[in-house]
Amino acid sequence: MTVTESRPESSSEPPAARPRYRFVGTRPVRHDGLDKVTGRARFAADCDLPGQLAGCVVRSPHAHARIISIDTGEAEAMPGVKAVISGGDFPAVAPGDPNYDMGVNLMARDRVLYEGHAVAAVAALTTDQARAAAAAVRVEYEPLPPVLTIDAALDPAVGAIHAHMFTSGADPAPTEPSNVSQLTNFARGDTEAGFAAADVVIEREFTTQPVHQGYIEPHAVTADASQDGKATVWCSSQGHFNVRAQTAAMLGWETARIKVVPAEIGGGFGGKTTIYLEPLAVLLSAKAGRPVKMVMTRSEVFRATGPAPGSKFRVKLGARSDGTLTAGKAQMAYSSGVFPSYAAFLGAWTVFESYDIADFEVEARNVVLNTPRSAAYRAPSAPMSALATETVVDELAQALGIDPIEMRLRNAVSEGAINTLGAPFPRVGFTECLEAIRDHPHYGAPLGPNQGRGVAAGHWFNIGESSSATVNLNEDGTATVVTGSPDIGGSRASMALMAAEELGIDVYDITPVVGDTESVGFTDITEGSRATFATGMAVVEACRRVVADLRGRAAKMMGVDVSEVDWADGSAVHAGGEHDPLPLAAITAEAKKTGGPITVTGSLDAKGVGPSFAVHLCDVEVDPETGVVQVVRYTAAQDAGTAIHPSYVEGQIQGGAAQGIGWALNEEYIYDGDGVMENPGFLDYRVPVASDLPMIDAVIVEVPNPNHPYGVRGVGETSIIPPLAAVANAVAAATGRRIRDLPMSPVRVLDAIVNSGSDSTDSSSSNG
Amino acid sequence: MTVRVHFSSDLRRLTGGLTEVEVADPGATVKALVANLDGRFPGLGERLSAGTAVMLDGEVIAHPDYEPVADGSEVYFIHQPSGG
Amino acid sequence: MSRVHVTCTVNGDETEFLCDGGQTLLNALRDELGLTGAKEGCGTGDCGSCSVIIDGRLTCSCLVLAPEAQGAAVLTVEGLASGDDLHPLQQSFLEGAALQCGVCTPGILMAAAALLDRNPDPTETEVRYGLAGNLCRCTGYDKIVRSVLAAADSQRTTSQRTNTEETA
Ligand code: FES
Ligand code: FES
Repeated sequence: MTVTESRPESSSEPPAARPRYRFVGTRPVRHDGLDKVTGRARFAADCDLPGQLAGCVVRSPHAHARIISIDTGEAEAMPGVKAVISGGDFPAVAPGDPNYDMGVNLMARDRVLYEGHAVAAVAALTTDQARAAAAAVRVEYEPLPPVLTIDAALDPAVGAIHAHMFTSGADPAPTEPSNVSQLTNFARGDTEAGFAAADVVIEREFTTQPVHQGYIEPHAVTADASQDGKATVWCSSQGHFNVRAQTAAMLGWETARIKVVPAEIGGGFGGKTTIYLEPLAVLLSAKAGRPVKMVMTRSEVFRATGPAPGSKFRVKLGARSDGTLTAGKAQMAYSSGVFPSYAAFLGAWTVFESYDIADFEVEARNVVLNTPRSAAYRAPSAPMSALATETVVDELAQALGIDPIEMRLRNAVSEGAINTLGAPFPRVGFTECLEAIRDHPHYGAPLGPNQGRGVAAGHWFNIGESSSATVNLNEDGTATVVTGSPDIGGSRASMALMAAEELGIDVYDITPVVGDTESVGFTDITEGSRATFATGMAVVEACRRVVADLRGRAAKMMGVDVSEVDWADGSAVHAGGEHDPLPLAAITAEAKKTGGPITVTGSLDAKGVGPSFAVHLCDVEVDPETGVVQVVRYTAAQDAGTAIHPSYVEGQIQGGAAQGIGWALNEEYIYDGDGVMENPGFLDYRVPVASDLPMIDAVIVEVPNPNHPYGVRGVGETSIIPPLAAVANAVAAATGRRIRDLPMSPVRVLDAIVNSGSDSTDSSSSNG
Repeated sequence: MTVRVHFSSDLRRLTGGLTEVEVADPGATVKALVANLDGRFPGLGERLSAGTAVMLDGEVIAHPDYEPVADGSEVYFIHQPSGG
Repeated sequence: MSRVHVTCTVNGDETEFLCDGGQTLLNALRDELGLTGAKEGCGTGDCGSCSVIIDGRLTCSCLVLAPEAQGAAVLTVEGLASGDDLHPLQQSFLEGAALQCGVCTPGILMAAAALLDRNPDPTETEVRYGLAGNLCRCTGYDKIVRSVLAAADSQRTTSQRTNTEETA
């Protein structure tokens, strides 16, 4: 095949004021692409070992029940069955232990806490035998009343799910257990005075339901435990070092006993930052003495792996007639499923973070329910908080007769603005994103009948954390770059581009590889939009040390002092010009004579993350007869800092927007009165398909992060934040009705149109 | 040497309502600074050492214990967000 | 349990395999023939990641029993390229960055190939409806749709050129 560089149609502006790079910012075909278009790429379920058994999990039909007994006798006697395990096979965990939540989530102990909770697992010769044996495990339950809604969890009269859980952050410290796991309060200034200074005050309530990350690849693992007490695990995850640490902790093993080999990962979006099957497979394999492969069904993925939390908010904002926001107040609740999380904390932090508001009060509660333990989903908690803030800001702009972008420009945070926690913002590109949308032809384009246009913004912090990269120069002058970051959206290509830029050799002379836990240094999870940022920094550091080594070797070959040798365009160059430049390949060819192989590892805990802002613009058409909302045009601008591989930056923007549109219009967990999920499949949990969406015009804004060698901010998460409010604001513009309960399903939209639904004027007041 | 320390509002319960303090003689590192603050506001040390990041002179540092502080440093105790 | 003997053509090769009567074609391709390009995203016909072409028809292989493939011609993603020459769709997906995680890609390529066979000059809307049975959670479909349109273009150009050469 021929590998060519192409520039697909896109409106992303050429980067304005940044250095010209030879490779960074180009769009080469990704190195792992060929395997993925020919079916060669091996995802988690594609890994098979000779003699492997099939594993299957027995799951609870009840949302909440005491386990009276588990009888595995019949299952163990069935044909082909080689091992059966249940809670008693795992190390005991006591309430309050750091491993308690994950340990109990992996395998129920004395109670089942949600429908789909694992109670036992079976390994047999074939999948059919394993399933039959799983069905023959006899579990006697005593059903308990489930807690299923945020309102119930907030009601002190409803019994606490966990007798050991007391609300943290409450003052004074509570004496009774509660379903509220955590309380966060942030405040600044005098909120009452701030509202009094406002000309318009609007207060609204919002609800959203849990939604799933919806990665197309179900969780899968193959584990091979050997007689020496070690185990190798093949699985796909967002972080195989994390899988190793968590699996070891769950089994009570030393870390070194487990090796995790990363398979290609078929989507994660935050959902594969934790483990579900790995310790089960290792334990079954150890018990059976053979490899065990386990693959979740889609129904198991929905019922037993982390969705994003549901939420319920009341948000109030005041503004002066010139559009200046004067005060904000938010009361928020997030449901994180059956165990505590930081969802409410992140919600409280994000709800007013984008705007410079002098006076505010935020109170956020995290509640637990008898539903699956929630997991991260792209910019956790921020899409819901932005739905609330960005809707109320839109209503304020409307009430004041101010253009919605102009309204946001007047209040947008910029460098030096004090954030919710009290710290100053670094250089950010919010204003630039707003201007990019304002100046985009979409913003002024005419609308058709029953159409409406909405705008909304979003922000994410991004994170740094630890990364390692090893650069090996090969004898012929090519290079291998090994990192510990699973590639979930093209990060290998980005690593190769940065290495090419540093070393000055062609991007296709670099082979980027994701190493297993024994062949590269520790690397944290690919999350928080950190891979290109932090692992990229490790690659750059390793390359710079390689270049230092190369200069030394070249000096030896030239017979000059190293201080006379520079590195330019892939060659060692003698400053005095008396020696011909030595290309990298000429130096690697002589490596044996100048000191041996050239290999360097860069490892670091990355500092200096750069927050990323995004502004989305959405046109919808609402069918007044059916309530169906069709997104007809969509433009998304996002500050990438620097786009290393613009195609994959656009891809992150487009993919996040599509997920947010699904969240706005269709997606939700639906439970019956007993807490049994009613839509655990893609037929009834409807994610957007190609015909639901228009082209998504991704506009890359580049305000470089001064703390990264190439200015990277990280782009994986912000794109899912604005769509909920952008779609809601567009629906409001099209119908004149505000819908504040997601999803905006046809039934809800029709109801709003026909019955005036959630009206558009409640609890707004004018101080004028 | 003096540094200025800023507390997010959810920490004020532990600081008697103070949002910022000047610390004279803070020690050489963030870790020493935290020990110093804990002497003044009992319980704050435990809270700050549990996964708290700092913003030190404009840069977010996730694991700051051994990070040097200098005369005139501005230290913000913040929380390390996670991600998806 | 007695196994069923199936003879069919897979990617142009005469192929025989044994399977259970209740085994899906998807499982047989993956487990009996080692062709793991087709993926199981749902097992219920809702995601399209298992898409293959059977006797010219786009099919969810998770919904077909393996014995039903008796005598049929099955095309999977592994058979899409001819030797070293990638199918125009494979080439355009690479150049257009139409894949991120890539787990949906085999199914989407098969759906797109079936579409272009039926309709060599589809509109954007026709591409979107042609792919509506295939979920992609990563890309938002933008680059996928563009790449299918680009492949259709290049296929038409190539066949026009061939036609012209033949007439000339
Ligand atoms: S696996 Fe066949 S349609 Fe999903
Ligand atoms: S590229 Fe990941 S599902 Fe399509």
